[in-house]
Amino acid sequence: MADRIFINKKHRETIDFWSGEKNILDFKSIENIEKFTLAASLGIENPLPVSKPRDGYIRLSSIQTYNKALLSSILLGKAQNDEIDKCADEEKCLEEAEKCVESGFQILKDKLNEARGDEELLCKRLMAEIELLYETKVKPGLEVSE
Amino acid sequence: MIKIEKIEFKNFRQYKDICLTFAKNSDYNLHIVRAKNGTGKTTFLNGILWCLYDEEYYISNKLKALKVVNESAIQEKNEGDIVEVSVKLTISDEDKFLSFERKQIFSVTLDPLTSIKKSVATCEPTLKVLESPKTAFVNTKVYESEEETQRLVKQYFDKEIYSYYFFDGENLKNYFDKENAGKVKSSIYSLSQVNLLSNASKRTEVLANDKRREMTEKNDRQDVVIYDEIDKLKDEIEKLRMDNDQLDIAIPILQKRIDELNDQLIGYKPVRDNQIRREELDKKLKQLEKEQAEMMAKKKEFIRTYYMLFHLFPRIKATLDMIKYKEDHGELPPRIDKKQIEELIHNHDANCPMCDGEINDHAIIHMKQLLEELDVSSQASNYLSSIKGGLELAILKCRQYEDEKKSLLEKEKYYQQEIEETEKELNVISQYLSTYSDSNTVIDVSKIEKERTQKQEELTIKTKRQGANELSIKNSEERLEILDKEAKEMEKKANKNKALQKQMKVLNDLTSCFNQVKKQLMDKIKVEIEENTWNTFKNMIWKKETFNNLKIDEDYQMSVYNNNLNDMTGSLSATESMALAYSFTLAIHETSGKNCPLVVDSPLGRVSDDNRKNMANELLKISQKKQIILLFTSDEYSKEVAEIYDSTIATIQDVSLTDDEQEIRKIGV
Repeated sequence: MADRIFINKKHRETIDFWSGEKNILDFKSIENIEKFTLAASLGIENPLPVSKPRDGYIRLSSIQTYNKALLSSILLGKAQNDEIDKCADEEKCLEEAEKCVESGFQILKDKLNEARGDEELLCKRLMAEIELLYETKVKPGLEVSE
Repeated sequence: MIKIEKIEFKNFRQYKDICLTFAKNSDYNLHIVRAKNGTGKTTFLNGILWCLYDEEYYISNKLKALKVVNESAIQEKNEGDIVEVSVKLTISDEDKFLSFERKQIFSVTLDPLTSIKKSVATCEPTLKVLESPKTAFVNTKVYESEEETQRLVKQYFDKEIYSYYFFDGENLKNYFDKENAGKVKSSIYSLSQVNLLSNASKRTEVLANDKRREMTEKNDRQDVVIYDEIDKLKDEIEKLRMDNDQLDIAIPILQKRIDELNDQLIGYKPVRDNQIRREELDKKLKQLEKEQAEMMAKKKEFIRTYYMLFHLFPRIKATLDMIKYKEDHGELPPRIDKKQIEELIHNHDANCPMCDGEINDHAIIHMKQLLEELDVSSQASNYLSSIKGGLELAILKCRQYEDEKKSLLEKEKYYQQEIEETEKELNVISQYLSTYSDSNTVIDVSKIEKERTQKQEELTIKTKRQGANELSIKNSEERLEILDKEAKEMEKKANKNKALQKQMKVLNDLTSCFNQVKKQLMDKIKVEIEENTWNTFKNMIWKKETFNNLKIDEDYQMSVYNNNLNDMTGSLSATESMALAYSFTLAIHETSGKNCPLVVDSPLGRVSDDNRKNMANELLKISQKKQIILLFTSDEYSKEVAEIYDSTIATIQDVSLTDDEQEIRKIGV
C-alpha cells in the first residue's frame, strides 16, 4: 500500500489559487487533509479515476481518526451488506476518496467562477446551500436518529 | 580634504553683499563665524542649501517666509529694474576648485494700491558649476545642464543627507528618525560603491539566466514558459519591493502630518472635544474591525466545516447506522473470525485448530452455514470500530449547526451595526469640522479638517497597498521557489551543453562572490560607523560610567545602551543627543570616503558645563583632518570656549546687522 494519498497535479493549481493572494475561505491556513476532505465530499456522487501526472499530497501517517472516519464513510456509506467486509479497508476507502476528489476540485473551481471570483458572494451562496442541505437532508436524518 | 574656500552672497536675504573666506591659517582647520542672536546665522546655512539644492530646509514657516531677495535692494531700485540674487560656494578638492553658483532674477514692481515696491521672480533659480585646476584659471569647465550640476552636487554634498553636512544644532529632533536613517543608508551605499556591487551582481545573474535559457532546447515551449514566468516574477517582486521602499518613507510622513493636524485640532479649544471624541471612535473602530475580521475567519471555518459535513452526512449516517445495527445484532465484534473459517474450508486437509479433530464433510457444511451468518471478519470489525467514534463526533457536530449558525449571524449583525454607527458618528464629526467657521483667523479648522481627511484617505490607500504588496511578494517568492525547482529539474533532463554550463557556473559563482563581498562591505561599513560613532561620543560627554555601547541596526537606526543593556536612546539629555548626532555625522563622513567639510549652526547652544569643553576640544581635534565651520552666537562663544579656540582656530569672523537691520556686514577678520 502506498504511504500517501495522491491527487492529480492539475488540482494543485486550483489549490494554489485558492491559497494565494485571495486566500478563498482561508485556504492558506488550513491543512491539506481538510482541503482534501472538502473536495472529496463534493465529488461523492461522481468518482473519477485519478489521472496522471499524480502528486503525493498527504502522508497516511498524518491522517487523524476523525478525518479517516469521514473519508471511510464515502465508500462504506454506499456499500451493500455483502460488500462491507471488503470495503472496511483503509486502502480501499482512501482510493475511493481520491476518485471523489477528482470531480470535487472541479466543483470547487466552478463554484468560485459562478461567483465571479468574489469571495463574499461565494460565502453567501455557500451559506444558502448549507441551509438547504440542512433542511432537506440533515435535519430529517438527525430527527430519525433521535 | 574637501574645503570650503569662500562663500559669496549677493542680495540673499540679509546677506546683501558679503564674502566670507575660510583660509587655513593654523594646524586646525576650524573656522568660527560669530553673530548676535537674530542676525542671520541660520540664514547663512539656508543660503548654502539654497545654492546647492534650491531649498532652505531650516526655514521655520515656508508659507509665511519672505522671498529670498534682500528687501533694501528692492527698495533702492525703480519700478521695472531688476535685482539679481546669488549665492556662490567655492570649494577646493585636491588639485581643483569648484564653484557652485545659484542665481535668480527679481524684477521690481509697484503695488497699485499702496505704491510700495515689491519683487517678482522673473525666472526659476539656475545653478552653474565651474571647475578649474588650482594652478591656473585656464581650462575651466562650465557645467550648466541640470543633469551635470545635479551629478556634481550629489558627488560632493548628497542632498539625501544634507543635514549631515550642514548641521543645525537647534534642530535635532528628526536626526534619529526612520526617514533620515533610510536616507543615510541609501546615501552611504551609493558613496561606498555597495550599489555598484549590487548592480554587478544583478547583471551577472541576468547573464546566467540567459545562458540557462540557451542551454535548453529552443523549441521546448514549456521551458521557455517557465523561464519567462521566472523573469516576470522576479521583475514583479523587484517592483513591489521598490514600491514598498517608497511607501516605507511615505507612510510615516503621512502619519506624522496627520498627527500634527490632530494636535492642532486638539490644541484649539472650540473643537477639542470633537477631536478627542473622534480619536476615541477611531480606536473603537479599529478594535471592532479587528474583531470583525476574527469573526469572518470563524465564519469561513463554519462554512468549510458544515459544507463538507452536510454533503457527507447521508454516507456518515448510513455507515454509523450500519455499525450500530451490527453491534446490536452481535455481528460486531464477530463471534468467530470469518477469514479463519474460509481458510479452514479451503485447507480442510489440516485438523481443526480448536479440537484437533478431522474436518469431515459435515464440518465443512456447518462451516459454510456459519459463513453465511457472519458478515464481517475480525479485520473489518476492527476497522469499523476504529472509525465509529469519528462518525459519532461528526453527527454531534451536525447537531450543533443551528446554535452555531445563530450565534454567528448574531455576531455578524452586531459588528455590522456597531461599525456602521461608529462610522456614522465619525462622518458627522468630520462634516462638522470641515464646515466649521469662526472669527479666528489663525486656526482655519475646516482647512485643517479637509487636509486631514485627504491625508487619512491617502494613508489608508497606501497602507492597504503596502500590505497587499507584502502578500504578493510572499506569494510570488513561494511560486518562484517552486518554479526554480522545476527549472532545475528540466535542466537536468535536457541535453546539456558543457560549454554553456561552464559559463553559467562562472557567472553564478561571480554573482555569489559579488553578493558575499557586498554583504561583507555592508557589515564592515556598519561596524565602522558604530565604532567611530561610539569613540567620538565617549570623548564628547562627561559621563564615563553610564553608557555601555551603541548599536546601529540594518536600517541604520541607532540605539544607545547603558551598563544594564537597556536602550537609552529615547532618554538622552539634549547635550547627549547633540553629542550623539555629532558623532554619527562625523562617522558617516569618515565612512563615505569623502572628507567633506562640516558646517554647524549653534554647535554648543544646548550644551553646558564640562560637556561644552569636551565637545569644543573634540571638534578642535577633528579639525586637524577635516574643515569645520561653526556659527556661534556671542553668548554661545563663552569664556571656556574662547580659552580653547582663540589661539588655535584658523579664522574667526564677526558679522552683524547694519543700523537699519537690512543687511549683514563683517566686523572683523
